[in-house]
Amino acid sequence: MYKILVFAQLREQLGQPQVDIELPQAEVTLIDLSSYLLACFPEQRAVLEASRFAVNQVYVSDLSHPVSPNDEIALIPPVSGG
Amino acid sequence: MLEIVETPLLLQPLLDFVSAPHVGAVSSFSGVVRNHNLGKGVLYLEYECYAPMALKEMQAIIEQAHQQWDLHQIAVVHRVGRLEIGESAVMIATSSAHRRESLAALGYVIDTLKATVPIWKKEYWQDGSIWLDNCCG
Repeated sequence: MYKILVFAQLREQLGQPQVDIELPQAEVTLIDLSSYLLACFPEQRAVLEASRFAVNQVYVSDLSHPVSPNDEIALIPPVSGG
Repeated sequence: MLEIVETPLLLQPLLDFVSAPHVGAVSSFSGVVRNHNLGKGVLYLEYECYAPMALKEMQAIIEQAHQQWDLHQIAVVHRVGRLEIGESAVMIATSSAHRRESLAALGYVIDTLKATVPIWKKEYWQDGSIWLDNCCG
């Protein structure tokens, strides 16, 4: 199972701070997680597409990046600190 | 000095941290909650963060600034939770032997922090609220 941390408007609109995803295939990339989220939450397409993935607390822009269930995966909506 | 806190910020500890006998310039920035944004009256803000990653990102910004300029020290403290009008959300202090380095680094640190660090603020008005986006705001 893959656990994806979500924040801010994503956390509020999905109604949870974490999304758990079960995928059948052995090798999973961020593209698979992104596709799954878009299919599950089509009404959140705009914010999902504006968000960036972080794996183990580092931004990853290449969505072909492989992930494992042990990775700390987060979806970072547009930031507004400061 | 790098912290994320839930309590009101004070500038003096940052100034003390970056000061030293060989320092000739101490520069500081405080980002404050203002009472209007995008034509709306703002009541208060709520900040949240992805704390472990936010600390890592801010540490990386501090290291980049040290590589780019000849600095003595950098201090960054960001507050999260509910903030009222006039309260400071972030304080940054930099120091160097001469002013140009500390001023340039100060601008770099706040600009980069706002662009990359996973911290979010929600703005509350009399008739609604919105999560802000530093790219477009």
